[in-house]
Amino acid sequence: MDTSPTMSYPISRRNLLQLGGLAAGTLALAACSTTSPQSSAGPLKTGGKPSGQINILDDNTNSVFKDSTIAAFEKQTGIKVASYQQGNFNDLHDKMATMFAAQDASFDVVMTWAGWSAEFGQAGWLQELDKTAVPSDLIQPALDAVSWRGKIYGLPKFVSVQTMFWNKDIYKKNGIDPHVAPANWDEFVKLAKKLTTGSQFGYACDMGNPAGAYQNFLRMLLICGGEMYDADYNPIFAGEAGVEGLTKLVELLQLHRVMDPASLQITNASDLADLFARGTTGIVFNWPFQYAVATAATSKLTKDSLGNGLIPGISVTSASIDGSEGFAINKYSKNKEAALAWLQFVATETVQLQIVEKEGWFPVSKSVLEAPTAVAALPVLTTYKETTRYVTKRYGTPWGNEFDQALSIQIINAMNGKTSPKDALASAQTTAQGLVKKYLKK
Amino acid sequence: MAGLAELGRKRETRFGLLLITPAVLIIVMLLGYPMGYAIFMSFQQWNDKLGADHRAIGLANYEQLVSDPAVHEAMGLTAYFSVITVVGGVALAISIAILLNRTFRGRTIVRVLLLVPWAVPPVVNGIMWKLIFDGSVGIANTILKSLGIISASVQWLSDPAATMNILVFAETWKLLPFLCLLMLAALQGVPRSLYRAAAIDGADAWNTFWRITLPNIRGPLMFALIVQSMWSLKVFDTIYVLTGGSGGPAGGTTTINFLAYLTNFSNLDRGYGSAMAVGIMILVLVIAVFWILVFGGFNRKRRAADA
Amino acid sequence: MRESWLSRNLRHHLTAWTCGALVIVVMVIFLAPFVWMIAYSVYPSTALQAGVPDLSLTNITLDSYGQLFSDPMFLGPIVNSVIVGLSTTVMCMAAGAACAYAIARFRFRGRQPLLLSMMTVQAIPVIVLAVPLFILLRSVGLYDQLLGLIVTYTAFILPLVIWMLVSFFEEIPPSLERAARIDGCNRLQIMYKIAFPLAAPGMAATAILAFITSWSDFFLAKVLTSNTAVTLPVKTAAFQGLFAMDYTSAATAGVITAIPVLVLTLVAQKWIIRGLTEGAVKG
Repeated sequence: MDTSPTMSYPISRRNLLQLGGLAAGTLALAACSTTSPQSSAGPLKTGGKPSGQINILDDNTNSVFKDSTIAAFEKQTGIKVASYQQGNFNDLHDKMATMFAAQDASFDVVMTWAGWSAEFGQAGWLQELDKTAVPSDLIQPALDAVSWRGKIYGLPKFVSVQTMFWNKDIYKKNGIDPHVAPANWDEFVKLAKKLTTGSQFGYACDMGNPAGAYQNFLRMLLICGGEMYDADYNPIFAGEAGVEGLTKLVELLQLHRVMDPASLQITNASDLADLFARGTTGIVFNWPFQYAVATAATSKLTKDSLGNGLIPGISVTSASIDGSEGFAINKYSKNKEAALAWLQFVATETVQLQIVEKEGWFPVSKSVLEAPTAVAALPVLTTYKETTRYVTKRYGTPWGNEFDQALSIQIINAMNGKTSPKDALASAQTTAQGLVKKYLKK
Repeated sequence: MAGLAELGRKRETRFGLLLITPAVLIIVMLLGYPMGYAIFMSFQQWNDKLGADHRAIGLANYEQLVSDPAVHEAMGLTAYFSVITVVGGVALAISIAILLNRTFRGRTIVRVLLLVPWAVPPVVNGIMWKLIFDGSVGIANTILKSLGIISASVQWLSDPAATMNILVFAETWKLLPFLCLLMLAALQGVPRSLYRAAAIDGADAWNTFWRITLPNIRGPLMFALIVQSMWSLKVFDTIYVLTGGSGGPAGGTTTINFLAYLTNFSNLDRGYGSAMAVGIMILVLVIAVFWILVFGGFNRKRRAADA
Repeated sequence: MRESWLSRNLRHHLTAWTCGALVIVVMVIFLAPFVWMIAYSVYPSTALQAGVPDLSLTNITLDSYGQLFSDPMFLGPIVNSVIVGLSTTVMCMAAGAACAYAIARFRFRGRQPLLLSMMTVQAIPVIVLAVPLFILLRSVGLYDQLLGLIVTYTAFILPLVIWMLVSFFEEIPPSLERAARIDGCNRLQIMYKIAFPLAAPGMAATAILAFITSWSDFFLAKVLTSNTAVTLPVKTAAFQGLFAMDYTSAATAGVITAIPVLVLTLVAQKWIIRGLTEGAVKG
């Protein structure tokens, strides 16, 4: 290349120095604005008569709050909900992380779930609640979704647990009794094989993004009786149970060929729900809202052709994963008492019944679970009551995002036959050990 | 007389500075502070999930950057994506521009319709390709099946390499109109007489292209290559929407800029993420300088005009 | 002699036909995806997702457009996007044209570094600036304000605008301006009476680029707005919910987002093409 000095070339050393000076100037400005750590003032208790106004940031899962709950809340407490904003779940994380990092108080109440409670809780961005502020009859997975390492960072707004949904029409077409759920994994595989014909698949799932891959692996791990971490958060998922679970998952796709290959590119539960509603899939394991999607007017299924039951187990009878959501209080909120009043209001029986009846999610408290009107409105509740007898977990952790990303790469490679389940999990476990060490300072 | 000229010159300079001030002020005010903040963070151990105790760690983040296998992987993907979109994109743009530079009926309408992809915002772009390449309901499978090219649905978005190729395709589709117009405009600036002379000399099409066309569109070519290199290295929106915000499957579309996003926003590791972003910035500049060197400096012509 | 003429004529026709066919292929590739999205916005998704898409005209419905246009949650972002897009363009052109003109016409120290740092600004990945920008805008009360978005976009787009405009102005022969000077025009008059009109096509092309860039932005708008200043792309992306993927609405919003830019480029296409022909690209 010609680099003779006569060539006119726009960058001189002098220019670089000038640029450096500009950078140094802005650097000095930045150094002045480093924020000092906030002092925390202990867990929040219920007390006094909260008033004033609050702002709420929610995902777009529920419509019952803006339709009726907010008005009822304002009427009963005298607290004004100045704004209730709904965002796309996938966009919320970035938005909240930005606001928290800037110590912003635009929203007093924010939506949370197991992952964020751990992540934002550990970052010191969510207000810890005192035990006295928490209703006594909450269901355990619901409480887990708002807690991290024994600290409670919010209250649940609904419970979401996966159950098995099947298409009775397809069962009948293939000469299978549509009323009986498979008792174990082998029966499930046999069934799925019978249901797979041509472009119709016995089973489909959503593992197209990191969270999806994590969930589908976790479900397999749990029904093999395994656990992600021991009591001290040492990762143990690469043990026998994990390898067996992942092997069986890979087999569904590669050996039995009953899994819709599209499963690897379905990035969220709603796409899976739509796929099932198109009537060419025999069985899915999905969240409660699958009921509403499958019985909607545009669906090929109806109430009568939709089967629902427990997820079949391998080493245990059944197990499931949790996806419950809740509300938490922004650490930088100026009106935490009023925010707490909203959290508690959402957990009350009246609101919970509405969420069950109008939206098809499970209630957060045992009393509503037993209410006869609730079961009448949402038949899936019967199955849900059964699942409470078995393990339901999520393992929300502060390192969830990093871990899901690393794990999903291994899982997808295993699914595509590029690596063995054993090696895939061993590699992911090594990553997990590093992350646990980093975040728990062990 | 000389003194008066000097005075006029000074006044000129002052007027020039006055004209520059608003633009520079806006840029410095809005971007100076955030930029400095980012550079500052890149020298810190600053992970929001580890609490508020940030501390200076010198070049540690940059050292990690050099040794991190995730970065290497992302750089590989970025190189693949950028080489195809930049070199392939510009080459394709020249070809299409040559095609459209001919006189034919409906030339205007074709040029107008060419602008359509440019007008589609990246967010919409992502949604659109999802509707096309979805493995179960996408129209791509339906068409290929009805043409008898494939028998079973292809899962375009479940294979890392295939998804990367779709991303390359989607981005090329989006950026081609601008590049095409640029090249078309450049072609129209080449004096006709040169082509006539070449024809008389009996040069074939290929020779004419290398000897006449290419040297005469050198400037626009450099501009296109620089701008497209910047856009390619910083691609984000389409990946975000196409892969559900994951850069998947199996990290197959996690280019270096997307990795910086994941580090900053998913992992909340602001220090390391900032170092990554500063690295990207340096990379972009290096590549821009590379193109300038290849094309022999962008002010050669300007100097000539000054003289 | 006659034979050779025939074969040449044949070859000429063959070339023309091949080129024509190629043009058609290129146009199909360019247009088909967008047409398919339009289809998604007017057909029920069940009709399109069937094994063989049912494209009978009787299935067409404009319901989703009606629905979106009657939804105040959607109308707000439309108005916001229009205001932000136009204001950003005006600001970029006002500040950018002045700056570019000075760079093109005046010799002063720091001219090269200035152009160079413009390039540096272009090189910054937006992602890393989100949090400090948020802090900055909030501290001056511009968070979730249209003005906040406008100044931010202006700062990001200005360098490219200046870059393009500098080459447009450099294409104008200085002799024209010298002549005007002799006629008694002052520097400012020369600028807006001679230089700007002469560079008008180039300025129009640049303005469109500025508009498209600000209109399309997703990431900054996502982080810097929350309620009152939400723009169209953010609203559009929001149709991809976790439990509510609404392809029809997403496609409809997509079409609506793309239309203004399309109309604008179509109306100004003459200027864009002329602008690019006459200027920027001769750098």
